[in-house]
Amino acid sequence: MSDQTIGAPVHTTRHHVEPKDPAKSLSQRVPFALSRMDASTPYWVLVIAVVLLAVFPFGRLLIAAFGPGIEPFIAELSRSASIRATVNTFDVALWSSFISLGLGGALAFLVGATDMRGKRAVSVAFLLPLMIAPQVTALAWLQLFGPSSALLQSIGLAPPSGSANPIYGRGGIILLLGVQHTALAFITLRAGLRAIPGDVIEAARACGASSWRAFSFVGLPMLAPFLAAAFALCFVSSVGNFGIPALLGMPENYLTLPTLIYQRLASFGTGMIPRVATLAVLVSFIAGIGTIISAFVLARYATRIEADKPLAPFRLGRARLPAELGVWGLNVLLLVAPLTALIAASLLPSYGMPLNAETFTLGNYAEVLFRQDVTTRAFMNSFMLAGSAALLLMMLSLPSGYALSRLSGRRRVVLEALVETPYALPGIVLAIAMILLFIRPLPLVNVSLYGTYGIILIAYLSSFYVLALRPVTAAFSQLDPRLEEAAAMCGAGFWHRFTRVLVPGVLPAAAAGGVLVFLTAFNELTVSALLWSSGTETLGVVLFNFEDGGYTTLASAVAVVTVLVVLTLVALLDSLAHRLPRGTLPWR
Amino acid sequence: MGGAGIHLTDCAKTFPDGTRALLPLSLEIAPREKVVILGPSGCGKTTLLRIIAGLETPDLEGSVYFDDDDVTGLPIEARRVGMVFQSYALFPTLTVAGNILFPLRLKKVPKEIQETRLAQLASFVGIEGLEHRHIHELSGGQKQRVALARALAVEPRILLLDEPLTALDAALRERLRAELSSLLDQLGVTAIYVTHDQAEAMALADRIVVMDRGAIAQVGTPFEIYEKPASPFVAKFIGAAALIPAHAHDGGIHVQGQRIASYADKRGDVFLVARPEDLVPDDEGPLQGEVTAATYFGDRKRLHITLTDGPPIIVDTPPDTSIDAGDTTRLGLVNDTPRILTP
Repeated sequence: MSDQTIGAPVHTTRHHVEPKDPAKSLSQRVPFALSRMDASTPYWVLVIAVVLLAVFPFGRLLIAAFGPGIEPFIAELSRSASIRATVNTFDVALWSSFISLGLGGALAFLVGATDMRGKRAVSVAFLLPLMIAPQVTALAWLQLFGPSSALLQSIGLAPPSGSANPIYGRGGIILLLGVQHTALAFITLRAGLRAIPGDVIEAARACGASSWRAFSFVGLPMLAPFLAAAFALCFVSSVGNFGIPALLGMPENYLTLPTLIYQRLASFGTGMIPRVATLAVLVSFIAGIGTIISAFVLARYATRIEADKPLAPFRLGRARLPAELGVWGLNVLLLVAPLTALIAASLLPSYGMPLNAETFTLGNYAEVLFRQDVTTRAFMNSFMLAGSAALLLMMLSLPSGYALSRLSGRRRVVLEALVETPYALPGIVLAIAMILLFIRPLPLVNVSLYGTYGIILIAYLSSFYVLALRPVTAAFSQLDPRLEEAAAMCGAGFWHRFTRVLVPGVLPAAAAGGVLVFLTAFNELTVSALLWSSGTETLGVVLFNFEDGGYTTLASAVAVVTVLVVLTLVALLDSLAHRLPRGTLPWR
Repeated sequence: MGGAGIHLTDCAKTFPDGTRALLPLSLEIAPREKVVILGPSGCGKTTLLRIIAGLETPDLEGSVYFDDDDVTGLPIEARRVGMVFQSYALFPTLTVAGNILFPLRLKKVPKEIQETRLAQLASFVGIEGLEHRHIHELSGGQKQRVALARALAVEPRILLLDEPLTALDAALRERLRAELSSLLDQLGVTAIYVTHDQAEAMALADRIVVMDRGAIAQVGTPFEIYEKPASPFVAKFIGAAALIPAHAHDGGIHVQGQRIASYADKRGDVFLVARPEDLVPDDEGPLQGEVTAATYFGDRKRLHITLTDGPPIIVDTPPDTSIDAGDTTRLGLVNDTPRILTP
């Protein structure tokens, strides 16, 4: 609808510009190909992007899983290894989601509804884990609790050498997934608290309820949909997580669905593809249900709009100082201690030594940054792949974000859902879909992308498209549509309106989207773990292989450098925050 | 229903950021009195209401008494006040009955008594049959009634209404205003009503408290406020009055040297309060001005006139008058005892 109505005046203005020879006047203004652009072009860019980046990979995956009929599918799922991995996946995802919800809920309450001091700092401190790759978290905790923990050794608390690291296995996976996703629960529940109007609580108090009773009788029921959505979000992220069960589960042969898929492919090669496709569909199904539940619950029951009048903060009274100390103590335990252990491990000449003035060395950094071919190459590869993905998606997001922001109704819902799909589904699923698409040479050109940078880049484009698109769409939606109508009234054709009037207004959002894509791609392990080959390894892969091969100190150095790069980018992005649409930055 | 008297002494409110929302003020409100706090936005009227409610505490030197009870330090839940919020603030997760009975359920009142109270209140505010509806199924007017019923279910000593009609459209607002006025009369409860709408204030109040920039500008009956505004602010805020500079001497009021009425109270510079109904076009009249705009309203024609060497004023005339924009006209007073304001 909207593109036709916007499109109509374009043709009339063209004729008004120079009635005698419209074609000539246009070709003088813009290059020939662009002169053909009208308001429907962005729409087609969006549709084509969605088909290539979302419909193709998942269509191919579904064909591979169900193509041979339903029996092989059932047979694969009823194998004992598949069943065990499915049970494990549910087990760790459920328990870890409870941990996330408990920690994130308590934090959200303290930050969003009480008179605790230093709320901004607490938010930042607890949202940082969101920006740290899961495999880095896992590595850091391994360094913290192992018998050779440099940190525990220096305070004499390390477990006896030779004993098993308690972080390995089911318990460690649950704990770390819980910690990793606390930020997700925190963000969702804080938004929920912001949606509770302050005067509703005041009304309950006018009815005779104390502050706490008013909050629990009236506020909590209003928070219920957000609790459900937060749980579903944490659950989905845990189901798809690869980095944590890969580092903590695989050494003990405790497998979840993503690690089972990885192990099958790693051990048996691409011949296993049809069978792992079945597992990938199963993971997608579990994750998909959770995503749909959270999206539905939030859309149906929760107004994401902030209340006109915010909640009056509860007075903690004498509990305030203990609460504040508790929150910061928790942060030291969950974030500072593991990262310190990671840094300590990266400064040792070899794994297991205590850290002191004699053993301190920067050798690992010199090794990974300058000497080892494989790490220098991985830094190059990760920078290049993440950078290209960011740049390409930024450019793609401009026309497609415009088109999406002007759509409404069912077409918008369907297109948005399709764009979200590759990001919402676990990376391991996307990787399988990519292998299926590109294992054979491309038709017509007869070039094989399998084993090249190309396949990783396309996977990144597919997976992170939505990260670039969301802020740009939001920014376009915030622009007054009259602005465009006024430009049309002045005689500006579509290309003019788009480049001169609209795009300048959304550039900060596009830049933010690009940096978000870069951050996520730079941290990424799951997709490249299945798609890399010698020469195209990413940082995630190198870290994983180092740890797998026992080069823990080198892995730690790589991890520390990654964290530094990420934190620098986060700080950069945060300084842009005031120019971005609200909700662009996950940690704000 | 009981009604307590309210005694406010030296109540001021300074917010943590240093803004003084309320300057120290004292106010006595009699039991069962209906008082409307009237003023433009930002005048401190809502802050005053919230101090009475117990949602804000006054600065240290202030005190709030309900009859002989010192309630200054009590939070709202311990004050037994009923409150109707501008946004209604109905509990979205409960039904109409759940909302109205919320205060009774908190006190664990027996089920039978709850049922009786619900029936009484529903019939009193006129929402019988809606008890099991969800809040999102109600119209604005119905929500307003539910909010009132819930406030009354508290059996309040004092009923507080914070712009309860502002969220409604104009036609409904007028109907509910009349209805609310009669409900409040039947209740006989002490009621404090905050609004920025002078018609609402006139219709509902025993007494009006006009507020301006954190202070009380005037307290009086609607008649007193309209007829004897205590300051230029009150005159301009109530009834769209223009203030025409005048001089009182020799037992008369003089505008631009012209004697326009007799007046013996004071001497010196004064203002003549000119509301739209106070002046009429009159070829013999003492004032003269140019009509800048004329608007036909059906029941009257409203003229915007700029007085020669004077302020712009508004004059309502019969709808069939022939005066139009661009004309020059002479004006006279409707009656011989004009309202005079001494600066």
